[in-house]
Parts: sequence; C-alpha cells; structure tokens
Amino acid sequence: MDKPLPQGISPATFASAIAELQAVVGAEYVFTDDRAHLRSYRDAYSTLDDSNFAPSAAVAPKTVEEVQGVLAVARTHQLPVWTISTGKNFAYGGPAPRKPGYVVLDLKRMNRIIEVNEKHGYAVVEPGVSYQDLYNYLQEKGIKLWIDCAAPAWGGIVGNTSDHGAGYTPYGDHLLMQCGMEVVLADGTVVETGMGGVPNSKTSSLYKYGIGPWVDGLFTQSNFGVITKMGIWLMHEPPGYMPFMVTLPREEDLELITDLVLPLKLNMVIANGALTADLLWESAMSVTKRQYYTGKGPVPDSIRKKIATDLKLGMWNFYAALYGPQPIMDNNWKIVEATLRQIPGAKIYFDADRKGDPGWDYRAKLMRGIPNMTEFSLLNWVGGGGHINFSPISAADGKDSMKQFHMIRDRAHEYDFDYIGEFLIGWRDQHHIFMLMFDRLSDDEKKRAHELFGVLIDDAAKLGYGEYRTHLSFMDQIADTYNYNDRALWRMHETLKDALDPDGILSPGKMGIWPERMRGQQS
Amino acid sequence: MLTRRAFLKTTVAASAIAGSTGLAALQSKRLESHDIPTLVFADENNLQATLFANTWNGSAPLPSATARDVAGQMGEIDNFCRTHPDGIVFGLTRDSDFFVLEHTAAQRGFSLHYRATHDFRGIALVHEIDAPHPVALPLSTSLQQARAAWPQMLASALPLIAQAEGALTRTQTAVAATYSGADSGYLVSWMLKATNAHAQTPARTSVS
Repeated sequence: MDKPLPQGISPATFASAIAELQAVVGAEYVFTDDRAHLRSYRDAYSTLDDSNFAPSAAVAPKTVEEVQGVLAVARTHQLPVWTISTGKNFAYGGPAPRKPGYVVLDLKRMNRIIEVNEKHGYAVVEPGVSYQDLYNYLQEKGIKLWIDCAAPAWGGIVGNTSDHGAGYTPYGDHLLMQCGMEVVLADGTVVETGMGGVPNSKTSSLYKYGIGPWVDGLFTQSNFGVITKMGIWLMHEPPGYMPFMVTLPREEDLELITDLVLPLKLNMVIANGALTADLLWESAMSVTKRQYYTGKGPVPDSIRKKIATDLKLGMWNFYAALYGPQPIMDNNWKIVEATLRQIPGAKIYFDADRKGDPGWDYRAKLMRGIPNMTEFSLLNWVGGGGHINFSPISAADGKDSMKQFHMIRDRAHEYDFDYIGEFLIGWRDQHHIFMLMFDRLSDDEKKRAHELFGVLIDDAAKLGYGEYRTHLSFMDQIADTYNYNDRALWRMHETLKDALDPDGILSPGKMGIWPERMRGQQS
Repeated sequence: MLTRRAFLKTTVAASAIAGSTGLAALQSKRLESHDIPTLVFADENNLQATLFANTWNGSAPLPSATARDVAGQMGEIDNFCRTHPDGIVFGLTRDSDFFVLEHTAAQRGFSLHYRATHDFRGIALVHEIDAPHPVALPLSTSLQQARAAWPQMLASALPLIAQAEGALTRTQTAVAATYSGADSGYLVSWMLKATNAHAQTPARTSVS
C-alpha cells in the first residue's frame, strides 16, 4: 500500500478502523484502493505535489445514523476525518484533505432534496445535492423558484454555502440565504439550529435565529461539526429579467465603475451579485492565450488591446441584471443607464447584442440561476490549466479596488503570470477573485504560483486586507494574518474546537484550526 | 461530441493505418471480436477533434459536439459509466472538458487508462503521451509519422490503446506543425476505463 496513513495511526489500528467503518456503512462504501477510487479525492490543482493531500481512505455514509457511526469509529481510534459534500471546491483544494492520511468523510450519498416550499421560497437539502440537482428538480416539478448557483454546476449547495460561496442573483450571498441546519457533533449529538431547536418546528426554514446565540456560522469554514442538512432560501421567479453588460475601455475605469455602482447596490436598484471582470477572464471563455501570444510571461498591453478589439470586450467588463415587473425594470434602467453613461467610452450590451458569445451566455445564465460549466473554459487559457484562487475582500470603493488590482497584478507579472480577476460586489464589500492560472503539468509554473500566492497573502495583510476563503496549502498562513490581539480570534476558535471535538477528529487544520493534539505540529 | 459504436467496427481501420506506422508490431494484440460499449467525445469547434471523431465514426453523421459548456455531457457520461461498467470512454477535447468528464466518470470508478496532450507550440506540434507501456513508444512514433493526419491515426489506434495493459509510461515527440494559426491550441486525447474492469474479459454488451 503506497498511500499514507493518518498521523500516529499504526497499520494495525488503521486496518481495524477500516473494518469498523465497513461495518457501519457497508464495505462497498469504504474506499481504500488508490487507483480505483482514492485518486479522485486528490487535488488536481495543487501547486504542491498532490501526495501532500492524499487520503488514506474515504467513507461515504448515507444517513445521519451512519455519520454518527463513522464518528464513533473515528473517536475510538483518533482517526482524522475530512468532511466534503460533493468535493468540487476546486481552486480551494477540491475533495482533498488538509494532511496526507486523513480519511475523507464523503457525504455525496446523502443527496436527498428533503423539501421544497414554493410559497415561502426555500429548499431543505442534504450535503450531496448539487446546484444542478436542485435546478433539475425544480424544472422537472415546474416549481417557479430560482436557485442561486456557484459558477460550476456540479458544486454542492451545502458545501458552497458553508465555504461562504457567492453567486450572481439577488440571493448571491449564500450564507445570508441559509436558514437552519442539522449538525452532527463530534460526539455524535445531533443538533438542529435556530427554530429547528423546537421539536416539530414549523418555522425552521423561515426564521434564522431562534432564540439565544445564533450558531450556524460556527459550522461554516470550520471543523466543529458535520452539517447533514441545510435550509436555503430560493428566489421567486420574477416576472421580468434583463441582464446587461458594460465594457469599459481603460484599466482605470475600475475605479469609476466601482464608485458609481455602490449607491445602486446599496439602494437595491441593482439587486444582484453584480461583478466587474477583467479582459482576460472574459476572453478565456472563447479564445486561448496562445492564439494571441506565444511569448513568455503575461500578455503585453498591445496584445491585450487587440484581444479587446477582436472580442468587443473592455479592459473591464461589468455585468448586472434587473429583475421584476416591466415598469419597475424600465424605471430602474433609466437610473442605471444615466449612471453608466458617465463613464467615457463605456458601451452597453444586452442579450440580443451578444447572444452566442460564450462569456455573455454563461453570465446571463448565472444571473438567473441557471447552472452551467462554462467557466471551466478559463482553464484553457494556458495549456493544461490549473488554478488556485487568491480571494481578498476589498471595500466597494474605487480607490480600494484599484489598489488591490495593482498590488496583485504587479506581483503576478513579477512572477510571469497573467492577472485574471474579477470583483464581485456584495452589500458593501467586494470579493476580489484573482484566478492564479498555471500549467498544472509544469513543475516550474506550480512552484512559481505557490511562491506568488504566499507573497500575495503577506502583501495584502500589510495593507490591511484579509482573504475570505482559501486553498488547503495556505489556510495556516492566512489564519496567521487574522492575528489582532495575539490571535485572539483563532485562540477562541481553538477553545471551541477543544470543547466540541476533544479527540480532534473533525477536519483537523481546516482554516488553520487545529485540535490540541496536533497544534503546533503543522508544517 | 458523442458517438457510440462497437470496437469491432474499427479494428479493420486500425490495422490498415497502424500497419504503416510504429504500431505495426502490435497488430497481433488488437481486439478481436468483442463488442465493447464505447462513448466518444470530441470538440466540434476544433478541426483536429472533428477529424478524429469522423475517423472513429466512419460515415455516420456526428449528432453534435462538446460545446463551450460541458454541463450537457456530464449526465451522459455518468449514465454511461453507471450502465456500462465494462465500457470505455475516450475523447479528443479541450483540457477543461477532459477535466470535468474525467472527474464525473471517476465517481463511477472509471480511471485514466491513457492521456496525451497535443500542444501546438508555434511551429511545432508536441505530443506528450502517457500510455500503457507496451503502446507508449509505438504510439509516439506513429503520431510523429502521421504528421498532419495524427487525429485520424489516433482514432484508428484506439482499440490497441484500449487493449494495452501496464503502467503508464510518458513519451514525447515533436513534429513540425503544418497548420494554420487558427488551429493552434492545446488538445487532450484520453481514455477512461473502469479500474476493476482492467483484468476482465471484454463484455458482450453492444451499444449502437
């Protein structure tokens, strides 16, 4: 067996644990064969050798009772288990665990859509339900509700929400739209949060907070429990939908568009998860880098201008949509158009103008909650494309946006990578996603990408920026940047970890939260 | 995009083309008379991938192709792998489409049997091949000799690749590209098989 064992676990103990797991879920749902199954639990986009994140086994329970059984085995043997839902969190580690040898707790078989309530606009789902699954279900049943999906259709609703993912409709803040969850704690206790704490609750998916502390957030981006069910609010299908796109001819237009859009967002004239994407992000939907440039390093400005001309794109490209009855959309469009016309050289496009353009088509789908996989075209920008996402939060402020853009672009160019990024506008912030694209078959590119990412974390922290989400490799480094008052926040996380999971079995090291028995041992 | 047919129908073509290439030595190992369910993907937007698909598909029309959104093919590959655990899936596609399809098939226990990248680097076309040891070098030689006809040669060699066993071995070959700039790009040819089917006798299931 060439796969690693969990730290501190002997082969005999591991074999016993596997046998006990097989007794819990059935032998066919405990995976130990590296070639047949475990390869699919590795991170294809790791900048390090993927053996750094190779699991020793995976176990796929079907029910809450089986999850409890798995955790009982883990407690007995102090077996570290790494929880995933659909395992498609690529760019942030995918299905792979933080350390080699962990056992992946794969919840893909828990894939029931438990409830959809059209009147109140919500669904209750298990972790194995993907955005595509829920979309298909709504379509098949003729239910007039929209989902808000992550860009890749195969992403899991529970997984994306619990990793603080974002989408593009007015329900784009996924955790904000989450209402109630069922959690299995490390000791096997099943907890219903919020109103679900009331037996036979009639409102567990309607009101988030219940009474007392609201704890749902504690189980997101953490390792305090295993989420086995989640309520998610869904948008009623609006009577009208009008997506639009604005191309901005100059790099410095990022400042103006950001400042112009903020009041429209705050006043909900633009209600959706609008975004501003750079030229190369949009270009990669339909062309590859080598079609324009076969030299070394980032695409030169002269070539960028040619690409923009050829594809009718801007240096930045703003996407948003209006929703609602036609009179309301008509009225809001007057406000939006008057605002956008303040940007010299900006061009406005609608569906009729760009239909058939892959970049437009997938954005227009996402802003109305139609899942697709088009964004993966980005990976073709470089041959054998892999990527990890550097994701700092920026203020929804023009100068702040430009500062972050320059910070990242300049470093990326220093390391011979293109800047490929977007700013997704939230309520008052922006998720700035820098897609660090590299050739995953090139050891040199992976090494440079890894170094660049680490430098960017430090650069951002020096300017007072933190990241909202990250890849396995950088969880500890980013956790260390949240170090106000001698890491008070992370020391609190550790206190909670030790109280809720004293054996340290649940996803050790997730977001830099280590159990006591492993603390300080990470490298 | 997808075409399905029995391997049997292609072995004749395979021997005809492979006979003049580095694969000639492998003729005796080609699949004999077993129909194996197959599922084929090709990027319709790419000339080489279309040639590949047409060679495989003979004169039958292609229903469609992998478009810019591979979501439409995820259900198909999942269904195929679920219902044909003895089947073989292969394609000549963009790298991103391969990534998505490979991960979807992996959920059904299918794993990589063969992969090659076909990388147009300016004036050169570089084939980098990860294939079972017995066919790796002959395939590399054949691709080099095929020059511009490499997609057709590759399609014809699929039965031999499918039958080969052994650890994946990497080989690389470069030939002068004789293609226009519009064809410059990066394609991946690939083959997936159910891991536990490697040692099995080819099944008799036929898919038309």
